[in-house]
Amino acid sequence: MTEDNVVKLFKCLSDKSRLQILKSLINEDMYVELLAQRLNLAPSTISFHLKKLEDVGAVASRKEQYYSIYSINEEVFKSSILDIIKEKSSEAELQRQREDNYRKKVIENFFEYGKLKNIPAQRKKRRIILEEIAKAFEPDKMYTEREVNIIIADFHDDFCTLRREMICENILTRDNSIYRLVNGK
Amino acid sequence: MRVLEEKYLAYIDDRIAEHNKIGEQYKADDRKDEADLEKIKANIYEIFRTLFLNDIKQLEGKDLGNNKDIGIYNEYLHRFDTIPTNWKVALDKAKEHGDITKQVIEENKLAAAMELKERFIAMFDGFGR
Repeated sequence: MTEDNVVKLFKCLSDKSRLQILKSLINEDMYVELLAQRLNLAPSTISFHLKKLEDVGAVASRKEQYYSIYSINEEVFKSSILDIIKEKSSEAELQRQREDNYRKKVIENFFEYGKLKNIPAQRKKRRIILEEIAKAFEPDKMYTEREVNIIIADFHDDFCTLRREMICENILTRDNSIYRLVNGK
Repeated sequence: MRVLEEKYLAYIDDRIAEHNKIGEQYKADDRKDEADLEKIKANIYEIFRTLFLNDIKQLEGKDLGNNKDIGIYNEYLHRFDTIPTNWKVALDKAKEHGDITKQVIEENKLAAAMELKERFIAMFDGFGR
Protein backbone atom coordinates (compact mmCIF):
# COMPACT_ATOMS: atom_id res chain seq x y z
CA MET A 1 0.00 0.00 0.00
CA THR A 2 1.43 3.42 -0.92
CA GLU A 3 1.78 6.07 1.79
CA ASP A 4 -0.85 8.06 0.02
CA ASN A 5 -3.32 5.20 0.16
CA VAL A 6 -2.51 4.57 3.81
CA VAL A 7 -3.27 8.20 4.69
CA LYS A 8 -6.55 8.05 2.76
CA LEU A 9 -7.53 4.80 4.46
CA PHE A 10 -6.76 6.09 7.95
CA LYS A 11 -8.57 9.34 7.29
CA CYS A 12 -11.58 7.39 6.13
CA LEU A 13 -11.50 5.14 9.19
CA SER A 14 -11.27 8.03 11.63
CA ASP A 15 -15.04 8.35 11.72
CA LYS A 16 -17.22 6.57 14.25
CA SER A 17 -20.12 5.94 11.88
CA ARG A 18 -17.84 4.36 9.32
CA LEU A 19 -16.27 2.17 12.00
CA GLN A 20 -19.77 1.09 13.04
CA ILE A 21 -20.53 0.18 9.44
CA LEU A 22 -17.35 -1.90 9.23
CA LYS A 23 -18.19 -3.59 12.54
CA SER A 24 -21.54 -4.61 11.10
CA LEU A 25 -20.04 -5.78 7.83
CA ILE A 26 -17.40 -7.90 9.54
CA ASN A 27 -20.24 -10.13 10.79
CA GLU A 28 -22.21 -10.35 7.58
CA ASP A 29 -22.63 -8.71 4.19
CA MET A 30 -25.44 -6.17 4.17
CA TYR A 31 -27.38 -3.78 2.01
CA VAL A 32 -27.89 -0.07 2.71
CA GLU A 33 -31.37 -0.24 4.24
CA LEU A 34 -30.41 -2.98 6.67
CA LEU A 35 -27.32 -1.07 7.78
CA ALA A 36 -29.44 2.06 8.18
CA GLN A 37 -31.87 0.17 10.38
CA ARG A 38 -29.15 -1.41 12.51
CA LEU A 39 -27.16 1.78 13.01
CA ASN A 40 -30.15 4.09 13.25
CA LEU A 41 -28.90 6.34 10.46
CA ALA A 42 -30.61 7.60 7.32
CA PRO A 43 -30.05 5.35 4.27
CA SER A 44 -28.59 8.35 2.42
CA THR A 45 -26.03 8.82 5.22
CA ILE A 46 -25.12 5.14 5.03
CA SER A 47 -24.66 5.41 1.23
CA PHE A 48 -22.51 8.49 1.79
CA HIS A 49 -20.21 6.58 4.16
CA LEU A 50 -20.16 3.41 2.05
CA LYS A 51 -19.02 5.39 -0.96
CA LYS A 52 -16.08 6.74 1.04
CA LEU A 53 -15.23 3.28 2.34
CA GLU A 54 -15.47 1.88 -1.17
CA ASP A 55 -13.19 4.59 -2.55
CA VAL A 56 -10.38 3.56 -0.20
CA GLY A 57 -10.98 -0.11 -0.87
CA ALA A 58 -12.25 -0.90 2.64
CA VAL A 59 -15.52 -2.34 1.33
CA ALA A 60 -16.71 -3.84 -1.94
CA SER A 61 -20.18 -4.05 -3.39
CA ARG A 62 -22.00 -6.51 -5.61
CA LYS A 63 -25.44 -6.45 -7.18
CA GLU A 64 -27.98 -9.00 -6.04
CA GLN A 65 -31.36 -8.54 -7.70
CA TYR A 66 -32.48 -5.06 -6.68
CA TYR A 67 -29.92 -4.57 -3.95
CA SER A 68 -26.29 -3.60 -3.74
CA ILE A 69 -24.76 -5.83 -1.11
CA TYR A 70 -21.72 -4.51 0.70
CA SER A 71 -18.94 -6.61 2.19
CA ILE A 72 -15.77 -5.79 4.03
CA ASN A 73 -12.54 -6.12 2.06
CA GLU A 74 -10.55 -8.10 4.60
CA GLU A 75 -7.33 -7.96 2.55
CA VAL A 76 -6.97 -4.24 3.28
CA PHE A 77 -7.05 -4.86 7.02
CA LYS A 78 -4.66 -7.77 7.07
CA SER A 79 -1.48 -5.69 7.00
CA SER A 80 -0.43 -4.60 10.46
CA ILE A 81 0.23 -0.96 11.27
CA LEU A 82 3.81 -1.93 12.02
CA ASP A 83 4.19 -3.39 8.51
CA ILE A 84 2.84 -0.17 7.05
CA ILE A 85 5.28 1.94 9.06
CA LYS A 86 8.21 -0.30 8.10
CA GLU A 87 7.41 0.01 4.41
CA LYS A 88 10.09 2.14 2.74
CA SER A 89 9.35 4.77 0.16
CA SER A 90 12.02 6.45 -1.88
CA GLU A 91 12.21 10.23 -2.25
CA ALA A 92 11.54 9.80 -5.96
CA GLU A 93 8.39 7.85 -5.18
CA LEU A 94 7.25 10.48 -2.68
CA GLN A 95 7.88 13.22 -5.21
CA ARG A 96 5.88 11.33 -7.84
CA GLN A 97 3.04 10.92 -5.36
CA ARG A 98 3.06 14.64 -4.57
CA GLU A 99 2.90 15.48 -8.26
CA ASP A 100 0.14 12.95 -8.85
CA ASN A 101 -1.84 14.41 -5.96
CA TYR A 102 -1.44 17.93 -7.27
CA ARG A 103 -2.51 16.86 -10.75
CA LYS A 104 -5.49 14.98 -9.35
CA LYS A 105 -6.55 18.00 -7.31
CA VAL A 106 -6.35 20.33 -10.30
CA ILE A 107 -8.39 17.90 -12.41
CA GLU A 108 -10.98 17.53 -9.63
CA ASN A 109 -11.26 21.30 -9.25
CA PHE A 110 -11.56 22.13 -12.92
CA PHE A 111 -13.53 19.18 -14.25
CA GLU A 112 -17.01 18.16 -13.23
CA TYR A 113 -18.28 14.86 -14.56
CA GLY A 114 -15.88 15.03 -17.49
CA LYS A 115 -16.68 18.64 -18.45
CA LEU A 116 -14.21 21.47 -17.99
CA LYS A 117 -15.83 24.08 -15.73
CA ASN A 118 -13.45 26.88 -16.70
CA ILE A 119 -10.01 27.34 -18.21
CA PRO A 120 -7.35 27.87 -15.53
CA ALA A 121 -5.49 31.16 -15.67
CA GLN A 122 -2.35 29.69 -14.15
CA ARG A 123 -0.15 28.11 -16.79
CA LYS A 124 0.86 25.08 -14.73
CA LYS A 125 -2.78 24.20 -14.08
CA ARG A 126 -3.76 24.94 -17.66
CA ARG A 127 -1.08 22.54 -18.87
CA ILE A 128 -2.52 19.80 -16.66
CA ILE A 129 -6.06 20.24 -17.99
CA LEU A 130 -4.76 20.32 -21.58
CA GLU A 131 -2.91 17.07 -20.98
CA GLU A 132 -6.10 15.61 -19.57
CA ILE A 133 -8.04 16.64 -22.68
CA ALA A 134 -5.23 15.22 -24.84
CA LYS A 135 -6.13 11.77 -23.50
CA ALA A 136 -9.17 11.91 -25.78
CA PHE A 137 -6.87 11.89 -28.81
CA GLU A 138 -5.44 8.71 -30.23
CA PRO A 139 -1.64 8.51 -30.53
CA ASP A 140 -0.29 8.92 -34.07
CA LYS A 141 -3.76 9.52 -35.49
CA MET A 142 -4.17 12.54 -37.76
CA TYR A 143 -7.11 14.86 -37.17
CA THR A 144 -8.68 17.61 -39.23
CA GLU A 145 -9.35 20.90 -37.43
CA ARG A 146 -13.05 20.08 -37.35
CA GLU A 147 -12.37 16.74 -35.66
CA VAL A 148 -10.13 18.44 -33.11
CA ASN A 149 -12.83 21.01 -32.40
CA ILE A 150 -15.45 18.33 -31.91
CA ILE A 151 -13.26 16.41 -29.46
CA ILE A 152 -12.40 19.52 -27.45
CA ALA A 153 -15.99 20.80 -27.52
CA ASP A 154 -16.95 17.68 -25.56
CA PHE A 155 -15.00 19.22 -22.67
CA HIS A 156 -15.60 22.94 -23.10
CA ASP A 157 -17.40 25.31 -25.48
CA ASP A 158 -14.32 27.46 -26.05
CA PHE A 159 -12.61 24.88 -28.27
CA CYS A 160 -10.70 27.56 -30.26
CA THR A 161 -8.79 28.78 -27.20
CA LEU A 162 -8.09 25.28 -26.00
CA ARG A 163 -6.97 24.11 -29.45
CA ARG A 164 -4.56 27.03 -29.73
CA GLU A 165 -3.27 26.39 -26.21
CA MET A 166 -2.61 22.76 -27.05
CA ILE A 167 -0.46 23.88 -29.96
CA CYS A 168 1.38 26.50 -27.87
CA GLU A 169 2.03 23.95 -25.12
CA ASN A 170 3.38 21.52 -27.70
CA ILE A 171 0.76 18.93 -26.90
CA LEU A 172 -0.72 18.97 -30.40
CA THR A 173 1.17 19.69 -33.54
CA ARG A 174 -0.32 21.25 -36.68
CA ASP A 175 0.97 20.71 -40.18
CA ASN A 176 -1.02 21.81 -43.22
CA SER A 177 -4.19 22.00 -41.09
CA ILE A 178 -3.69 18.43 -39.93
CA TYR A 179 -3.34 17.89 -36.20
CA ARG A 180 -1.82 15.06 -34.22
CA LEU A 181 -0.43 14.47 -30.74
CA VAL A 182 3.20 15.48 -30.36
CA ASN A 183 5.42 12.37 -30.47
CA GLY A 184 2.26 10.30 -30.56
CA LYS A 185 1.91 10.81 -26.79
CA MET B 1 -47.81 40.85 10.77
CA ARG B 2 -44.89 41.86 12.93
CA VAL B 3 -45.73 39.00 15.31
CA LEU B 4 -45.76 36.56 12.44
CA GLU B 5 -42.40 37.73 11.09
CA GLU B 6 -40.87 37.37 14.52
CA LYS B 7 -42.41 33.95 14.94
CA TYR B 8 -41.01 32.77 11.62
CA LEU B 9 -37.56 34.19 12.38
CA ALA B 10 -37.63 32.53 15.79
CA TYR B 11 -38.47 29.24 14.10
CA ILE B 12 -35.49 29.60 11.73
CA ASP B 13 -33.20 30.54 14.63
CA ASP B 14 -34.34 27.46 16.54
CA ARG B 15 -33.60 25.24 13.57
CA ILE B 16 -30.14 26.80 13.10
CA ALA B 17 -29.34 26.32 16.78
CA GLU B 18 -30.65 22.76 16.66
CA HIS B 19 -28.52 21.76 13.64
CA ASN B 20 -25.45 23.46 15.07
CA LYS B 21 -25.96 21.61 18.34
CA ILE B 22 -26.35 18.25 16.59
CA GLY B 23 -23.30 19.10 14.49
CA GLU B 24 -21.25 19.76 17.61
CA GLN B 25 -22.40 16.47 19.10
CA TYR B 26 -21.37 14.63 15.95
CA LYS B 27 -18.01 16.36 15.98
CA ALA B 28 -17.46 15.38 19.60
CA ASP B 29 -18.45 11.86 18.62
CA ASP B 30 -15.82 11.78 15.81
CA ARG B 31 -18.46 11.84 13.09
CA LYS B 32 -17.08 14.75 11.11
CA ASP B 33 -18.88 14.12 7.82
CA GLU B 34 -22.27 14.00 9.52
CA ALA B 35 -21.31 17.13 11.47
CA ASP B 36 -20.54 18.80 8.14
CA LEU B 37 -23.95 17.82 6.79
CA GLU B 38 -25.59 19.47 9.81
CA LYS B 39 -23.51 22.59 9.17
CA ILE B 40 -24.71 22.61 5.56
CA LYS B 41 -28.34 22.47 6.72
CA ALA B 42 -27.73 25.28 9.20
CA ASN B 43 -26.19 27.34 6.39
CA ILE B 44 -29.29 26.87 4.24
CA TYR B 45 -31.47 28.18 7.09
CA GLU B 46 -29.07 31.12 7.43
CA ILE B 47 -29.45 31.92 3.74
CA PHE B 48 -33.24 31.97 3.90
CA ARG B 49 -33.16 33.93 7.14
CA THR B 50 -31.06 36.63 5.47
CA LEU B 51 -33.37 36.68 2.46
CA PHE B 52 -36.45 36.97 4.65
CA LEU B 53 -34.97 39.91 6.56
CA ASN B 54 -34.01 41.47 3.26
CA ASP B 55 -37.52 41.08 1.84
CA ILE B 56 -39.05 42.62 4.96
CA LYS B 57 -36.62 45.51 4.76
CA GLN B 58 -37.45 46.15 1.12
CA LEU B 59 -41.08 46.68 2.05
CA GLU B 60 -40.40 48.79 5.13
CA GLY B 61 -41.67 52.32 4.80
CA LYS B 62 -43.51 51.62 1.59
CA ASP B 63 -47.21 52.47 1.56
CA LEU B 64 -48.58 49.17 0.43
CA GLY B 65 -51.74 49.24 2.48
CA ASN B 66 -53.28 45.82 2.85
CA ASN B 67 -51.05 44.39 0.17
CA LYS B 68 -48.00 44.50 2.39
CA ASP B 69 -48.48 41.03 3.80
CA ILE B 70 -49.07 39.58 0.38
CA GLY B 71 -46.00 41.42 -0.89
CA ILE B 72 -43.74 39.73 1.64
CA TYR B 73 -45.49 36.42 1.16
CA ASN B 74 -45.03 36.36 -2.62
CA GLU B 75 -41.52 37.81 -2.71
CA TYR B 76 -40.20 35.41 -0.15
CA LEU B 77 -42.08 32.38 -1.48
CA HIS B 78 -40.56 33.03 -4.88
CA ARG B 79 -37.10 32.64 -3.32
CA PHE B 80 -37.83 28.97 -2.72
CA ASP B 81 -38.18 28.51 -6.47
CA THR B 82 -35.15 30.53 -7.54
CA ILE B 83 -32.47 29.82 -4.92
CA PRO B 84 -32.56 26.00 -5.06
CA THR B 85 -32.51 25.86 -8.88
CA ASN B 86 -28.77 25.21 -9.07
CA TRP B 87 -28.99 22.66 -6.27
CA LYS B 88 -31.57 20.72 -8.28
CA VAL B 89 -29.33 20.83 -11.35
CA ALA B 90 -26.37 19.67 -9.24
CA LEU B 91 -28.48 16.86 -7.75
CA ASP B 92 -29.58 15.63 -11.18
CA LYS B 93 -25.99 15.68 -12.40
CA ALA B 94 -24.81 13.83 -9.30
CA LYS B 95 -27.50 11.16 -9.76
CA GLU B 96 -26.63 10.82 -13.43
CA HIS B 97 -22.98 10.22 -12.57
CA GLY B 98 -23.54 8.11 -9.44
CA ASP B 99 -21.83 10.73 -7.27
CA ILE B 100 -23.35 9.67 -3.94
CA THR B 101 -21.41 12.18 -1.84
CA LYS B 102 -22.62 15.16 -3.84
CA GLN B 103 -26.11 13.65 -4.09
CA VAL B 104 -26.48 13.46 -0.32
CA ILE B 105 -25.26 17.04 0.12
CA GLU B 106 -27.67 18.44 -2.49
CA GLU B 107 -30.58 16.38 -1.11
CA ASN B 108 -29.92 17.78 2.34
CA LYS B 109 -29.86 21.34 1.02
CA LEU B 110 -33.10 20.86 -0.88
CA ALA B 111 -34.78 19.15 2.08
CA ALA B 112 -33.86 22.05 4.37
CA ALA B 113 -35.23 24.59 1.87
CA MET B 114 -38.41 22.57 1.38
CA GLU B 115 -38.97 22.32 5.12
CA LEU B 116 -38.64 26.09 5.52
CA LYS B 117 -40.97 26.71 2.60
CA GLU B 118 -43.67 24.44 4.04
CA ARG B 119 -43.33 26.01 7.47
CA PHE B 120 -43.56 29.47 5.96
CA ILE B 121 -46.74 28.63 4.02
CA ALA B 122 -48.30 26.97 7.06
CA MET B 123 -47.52 29.93 9.32
CA PHE B 124 -48.72 32.60 6.93
CA ASP B 125 -51.85 30.71 5.91
CA GLY B 126 -52.59 29.98 9.54
CA PHE B 127 -52.35 33.69 10.22
CA GLY B 128 -55.38 34.25 7.99
CA ARG B 129 -53.72 35.68 4.94
